[in-house]
Amino acid sequence: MISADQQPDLRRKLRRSKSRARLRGLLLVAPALLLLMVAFVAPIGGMLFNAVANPEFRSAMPRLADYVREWDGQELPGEEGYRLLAEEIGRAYSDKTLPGAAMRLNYEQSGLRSLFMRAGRRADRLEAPYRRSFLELDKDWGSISVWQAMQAASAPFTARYLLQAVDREITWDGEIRLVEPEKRVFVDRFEATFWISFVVTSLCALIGYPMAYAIAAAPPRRARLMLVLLLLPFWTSLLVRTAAWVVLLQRDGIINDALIWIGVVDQPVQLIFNRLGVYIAMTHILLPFMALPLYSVMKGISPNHMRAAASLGAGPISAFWTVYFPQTVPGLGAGCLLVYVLAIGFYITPALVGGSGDQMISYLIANFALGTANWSVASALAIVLLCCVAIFYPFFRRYVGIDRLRLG
Amino acid sequence: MRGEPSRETPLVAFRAVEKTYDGVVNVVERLDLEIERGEFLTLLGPSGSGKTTTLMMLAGFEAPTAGEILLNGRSLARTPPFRRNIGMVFQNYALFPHMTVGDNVAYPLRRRRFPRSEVDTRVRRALDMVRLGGLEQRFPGQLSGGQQQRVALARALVFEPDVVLMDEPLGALDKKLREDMQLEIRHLHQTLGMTVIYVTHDQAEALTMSDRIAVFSDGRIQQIGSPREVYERPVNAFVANFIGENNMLPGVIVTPAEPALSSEGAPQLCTVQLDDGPTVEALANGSRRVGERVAVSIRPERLELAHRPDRRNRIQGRLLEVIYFGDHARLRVRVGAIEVMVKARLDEWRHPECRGERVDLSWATDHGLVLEPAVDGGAAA
Ligand SMILES: Nc1ncnc2c1ncn2[C@@H]1O[C@H](COP(=O)(O)OP(=O)(O)OP(=O)(O)O)[C@@H](O)[C@H]1O
Ligand SMILES: [Mg+2]
Repeated sequence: MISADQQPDLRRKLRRSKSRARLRGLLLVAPALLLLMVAFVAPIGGMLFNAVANPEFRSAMPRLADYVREWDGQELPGEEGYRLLAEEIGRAYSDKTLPGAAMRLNYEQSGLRSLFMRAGRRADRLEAPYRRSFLELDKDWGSISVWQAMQAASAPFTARYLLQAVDREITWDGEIRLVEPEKRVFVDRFEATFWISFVVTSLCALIGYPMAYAIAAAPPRRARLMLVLLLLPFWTSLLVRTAAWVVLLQRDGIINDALIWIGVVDQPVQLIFNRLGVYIAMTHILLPFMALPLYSVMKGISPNHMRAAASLGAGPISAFWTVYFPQTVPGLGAGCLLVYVLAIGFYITPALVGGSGDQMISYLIANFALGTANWSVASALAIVLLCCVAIFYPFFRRYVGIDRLRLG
Repeated sequence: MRGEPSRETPLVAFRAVEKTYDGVVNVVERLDLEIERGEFLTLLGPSGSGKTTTLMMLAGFEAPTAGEILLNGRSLARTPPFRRNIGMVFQNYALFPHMTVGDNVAYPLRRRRFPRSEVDTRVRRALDMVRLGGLEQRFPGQLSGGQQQRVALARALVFEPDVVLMDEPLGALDKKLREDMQLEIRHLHQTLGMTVIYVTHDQAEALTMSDRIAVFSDGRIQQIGSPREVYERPVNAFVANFIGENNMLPGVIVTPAEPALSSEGAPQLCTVQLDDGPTVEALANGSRRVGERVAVSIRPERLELAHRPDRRNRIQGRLLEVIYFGDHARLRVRVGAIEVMVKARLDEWRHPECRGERVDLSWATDHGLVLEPAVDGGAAA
């Protein structure tokens, strides 16, 4: 027995030994944590920032930005405002920051880019009275919406990109509404992305489950061979695999030839450059990510469980659903999560084997980031995508029990 | 315990059953075995002797390659495992890890579509029976090995199967727990009157628990009988060596038994000239020819250390070693070319150890058995 006055001492010892263990644990994961910081947290933080940052106008014309922030937004500014406008445009033009700001203003209202760039080129000819000068240059300078656009562009943060990513915009008086029908592109792509990912995940589960079962049940030698075959596609690049599907699925490809030869069809079927092609290619590419976690849990289920179930009176089907399947659910969940998340990020495959309506959101993100160099929209799309994916995690955790999964 | 227990038909009968996995060797060779209702039969044998295979054929997980198995007089050949109504306890319990203890035990009842209230009462009764009442909500992973074992037992008994098969159910438990569970299973068998076929390669377990023991070797039953018969009247050297400890003294028959003097089947007395000593008398099962090479089998605990001139069977040897076991001591004694093990009570052996000392050994005539000489020495348990 330990007397009461010895207890604090014991507790201190316990704490000390525990903290030592914790420190050791921390040291072990330090490299991984560092990598995570550099390769994951920092980029996501940057992305989040990019999606709401609004620096272009303010950095090009800081004094004007301060001025329009103060402006009440009701009436056109007076001569003072136009004088500041002339000075700032002139300076921004000469230190070459004007194009960025003009571009940014153009997002608020199309046409503003050329309006500002023209004024920049003629800035040396602008003189008092400035307001008259501007109006002579272009009568649009007398429109209050130009100043409102500048005010919107002068705030340190903006929600416009995030709203744009879901096909919404915010009006001057703070109302959020859908953009014009011809500009509604993103929601459609998001829906296609989630739907394609969902179908591909389901196909992978339907094909991967029996496949993993066959491998887990096979004698060791054959199981090893099957695993190698399963992993063989990883030895070639994604691009090559996708291209191979183009060769196989095209109008005069092997599959069509075979179908015609068997007599199932008499005209070549359109198997590629449509949704079907995307499903086929993506399911094939992602199948191992479903089969491997499933295989790993199935391998851990003792064959005696099925025998026990039979000896207790369960027929094969009943034994499967009551004993086998529930034990594979963590693997199935992990596989689905893996395939789903990977599928959402696909873009080369749909770009190569899909039609125009089968492009996924990642394609647009890449397009904005690399093509038009609009990092703000690209980031906003990525953030929305991330949020949509994150929604699924608690669901998986709750119903599938990823925590219970043991790999290997 | 059930209706219509006919006296003639045994509950389970193996008729000329054979099994081969690879088409080359028979893992089970022409097995003929009958198990009576309410019996506790143990299949005992060394590893690989076909015990599990025999159980698996009865449970329906392996098909015999020849012969047939009858349950209640009906052939099981076309009955799938889930319709056989045979309870089974696996070596590693095979509890379903995703179900609670209660659900595990309820599993066979639910598969048989018992009404819910019936399921509840039966589960409770079964768990109380194995002294696990109140643990229904736990998962198997939260139980100790012995508790898991009892859950598996409750699950195999709760639906009152015709036969309960147990394949080394205590193999994974430590010695103390094993002994407790042995008694517990034995008591359950006695109170419920169920039929049990029990597999083990632990001879002590077989001796303490069984009504009958079938000693397996190389797919054949070497001997089947009560624990006493198997231990005290082994029919051959394999059985004598496999069950308990045994000394084999090689020799030659001098006087065979006289068949005329003895009744049918009873052992007869013959005289054997030991290779390394005097002539002794021992019991023989069958008739032996003069000059036939045999071995006299004597259990270590039947050898007496005291110099007993009244005994007709006496040998002498030299002490090699004394091994202290707490409740007894074992003496390794060299007798001529062979070595003999003697189990001595501590009060019998009060001398301090003295290597090379001369030892007199004697035994009662009916404790020596004439067997054919062991070829390979047999497997000692
Ligand atoms: N599924 C199988 N396929 C091929 N051979 C098998 C199979 N199961 C068992 N055997 C072989 O059959 C023989 C008997 O095996 P069995 O499992 O019946 O022995 P056992 O008496 O239960 O042994 P143990 O005490 O080690 O459990 C062994 O030689 C074993 O290698
Ligand atoms: Mg076995």
